[in-house]
Amino acid sequence: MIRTSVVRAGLAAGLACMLSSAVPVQAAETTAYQQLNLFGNVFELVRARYAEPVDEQRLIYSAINGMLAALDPHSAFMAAQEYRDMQQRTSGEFGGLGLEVRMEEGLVRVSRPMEDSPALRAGVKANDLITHLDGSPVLGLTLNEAVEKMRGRVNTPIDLTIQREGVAQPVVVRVIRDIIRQPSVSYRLEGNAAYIRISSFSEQTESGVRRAMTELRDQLGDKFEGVILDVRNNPGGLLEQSVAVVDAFLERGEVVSTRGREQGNVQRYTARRGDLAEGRPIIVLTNNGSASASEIVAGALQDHKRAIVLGTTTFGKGSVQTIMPMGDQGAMRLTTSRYYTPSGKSIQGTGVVPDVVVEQARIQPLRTATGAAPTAAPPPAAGPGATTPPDYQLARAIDLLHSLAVYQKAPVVN
Amino acid sequence: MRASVAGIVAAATLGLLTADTLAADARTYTQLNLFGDAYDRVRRAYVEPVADEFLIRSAINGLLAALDPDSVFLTPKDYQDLLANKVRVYDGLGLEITMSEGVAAVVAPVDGGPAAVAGLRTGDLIVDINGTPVYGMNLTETIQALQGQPGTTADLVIVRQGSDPFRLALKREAVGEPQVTMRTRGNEGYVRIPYFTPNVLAQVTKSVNDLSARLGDNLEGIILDLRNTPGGSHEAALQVADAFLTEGPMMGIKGRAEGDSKTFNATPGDILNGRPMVVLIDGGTAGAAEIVAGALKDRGRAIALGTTTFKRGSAQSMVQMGDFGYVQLTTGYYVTPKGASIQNDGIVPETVVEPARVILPEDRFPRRTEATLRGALDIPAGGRQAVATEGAEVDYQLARAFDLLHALALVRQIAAN
Repeated sequence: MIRTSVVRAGLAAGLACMLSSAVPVQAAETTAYQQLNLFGNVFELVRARYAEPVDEQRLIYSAINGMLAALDPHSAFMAAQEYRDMQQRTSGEFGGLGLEVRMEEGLVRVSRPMEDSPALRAGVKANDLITHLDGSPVLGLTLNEAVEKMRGRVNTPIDLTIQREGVAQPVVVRVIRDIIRQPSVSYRLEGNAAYIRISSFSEQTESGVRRAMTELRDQLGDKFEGVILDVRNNPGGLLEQSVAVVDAFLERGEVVSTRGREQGNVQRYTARRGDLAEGRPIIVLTNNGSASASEIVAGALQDHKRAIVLGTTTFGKGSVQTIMPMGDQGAMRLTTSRYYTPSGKSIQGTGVVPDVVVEQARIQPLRTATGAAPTAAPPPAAGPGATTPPDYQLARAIDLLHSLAVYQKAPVVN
Repeated sequence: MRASVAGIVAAATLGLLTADTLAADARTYTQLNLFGDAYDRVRRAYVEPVADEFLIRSAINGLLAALDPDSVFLTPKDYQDLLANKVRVYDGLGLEITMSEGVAAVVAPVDGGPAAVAGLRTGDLIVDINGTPVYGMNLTETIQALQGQPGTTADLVIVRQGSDPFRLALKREAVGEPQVTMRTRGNEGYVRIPYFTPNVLAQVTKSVNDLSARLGDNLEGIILDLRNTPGGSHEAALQVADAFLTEGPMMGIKGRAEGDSKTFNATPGDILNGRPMVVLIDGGTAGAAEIVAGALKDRGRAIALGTTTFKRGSAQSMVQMGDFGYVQLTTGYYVTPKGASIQNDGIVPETVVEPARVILPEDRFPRRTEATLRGALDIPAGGRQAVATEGAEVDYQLARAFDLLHALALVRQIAAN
């Protein structure tokens, strides 16, 4: 107690010196100092009297993280190692498990293990509930934090504790991390349409889309009916890359604008001439996992009526983060601006609402009068491999695109 | 501006320190500087203006939450509520919680409350309250989220070991202050403390007096049931331990800083006059209840029966931070007279009895005894009566405790003759 009051006296003296200097200090700044002094006092109290010796660095990191986490879910502090890991990950030196996961009630639910992935080889199954990572609970982690923990250097092991339906005891599965090749862009023909899947917006996205369009248009020639841009479960990535993707299909006009805190701190991104699809219809496939940069693409092409958005409402993250290095101590990820679609809408909280709402339904064929199953072609598979369920949303997108093409070619009757 | 904001705290703090700690201070300076830098950048660059007070409060919460769930910052209002005993964890849902891995962990439900009726158990994790994730909240905020007007509903998502997460809608009730209850079995007394409210000593004393009045000298001793007693006032716990101990140490607090360690000694007087005691404990016996169990067990005043306790034994100090509020900081740990740390070891029972239900054999026909035979001799007046199976215990731990207490009394009688 005595110690605390001494600390306060000391700080007050320091503050007085500062205030009496020639520079006039505004009232707002005084509050800022008083608050910072309060923090210093609490820190000193903990250092002096906490029941156990404290790790000062850990305390300060926790304080910074507490401050940032209270602002929004995307602002956070990365310690030096975390920051290095983040940088290295983009260079491909980092490995993962090859799991598609989602958060459920604070635990990680496996949507599916990817083809030929370490997770699949180790026996992780779709619908498994991951409760612990290397023995420490998943509870309390955000999805991002859990995913970060699963990532790591190639050839290092991680133990997943799994609750599996129908199995009474938790199962512990050891998975060895490997490089997960998840190209930003993959593509294929779907009928006469160019199907382009963007899984995240990295530095290779624009070039990937351009290559895909060149190759698929070469294959289709005159039969080319349009483009399906699939940004479902795409969490976002680099803002510039999403702008470039929109630009590739838009002749002119604003793509997106970002606005910071200061008045007039507005940055506008506009399209340059040229449309890789040459005016043919585009369908953007979205779902609740389409976030951030994905929403810029969907929102811009929708606002310009350049594309029909099909699927379900997007995630609704309308903010932009800046990475701010903090010397050798790591970096802060701080939300510094919001972005707005060309019509001036913020998608923050609301997301992009599709023009055609299609849930990812499961289709059960009815038996026909003759007792035989219908012979129409089944909807396309969601991905490689025969075991994956048909992709209903994609099937509807293909139908729609084909109908549009037929309609446009039909002779005018009047 | 940035450097000066950071520097002012560091410089002022360093000013206090002596020369021999300079190397350590340089590190402290670096750390404080880092915080000042982060604070300043957020103030200037965040997408919208944020109140300084909010930033610093959040930072302090983050710092304290990294220590333990019971170290918290209190605004002047929080502090007043605490003094006025308005923060009564048993109100509403009847649930004592702590924080574990960032979410709320059930210490134990309070007897008769909605949480107890719904079957919440020690160790259940509450991950979501009315659609808001608990992750990111501190203990105070979580308790506030759980509390509410009687009649309103708290929608919880519960994670329990060995089952899928499930939802639970609990209707809040005016639970009222949990009361000490008592009863007898034969010549043995039973006292149940559901929670250590500030008034618990008076209630325990009254219960013991009532037992003495009912049984007189025949009172063989008492069972003090602290199972699923999730805590409460540490002061009240020390008073209760003192009521049964006549002298010597009851409990100690071991701190790191000078002045944060102390020993609590018993004062003369034993409301039970040295009669035997069995203290019943289990995994839901926490905090204040562990203080009582540890003191009575280590001083040989009671035999502890049941299973190992919850292990919640930290001691907090309240430090005022000018006009801004108070920091409740963990400054020590409770240590039993024999040196066990409640926080690390808990209270380990001398007689381990796992919880179980006693399933009695069904009597399909009346049992044959001498007295049931035709023409049996009359039982002379004042002769020995068979002990009735009156209210046979289905609670196995309690049945064992009664047996133990009865045996202790018999041993004492034999020794006395």
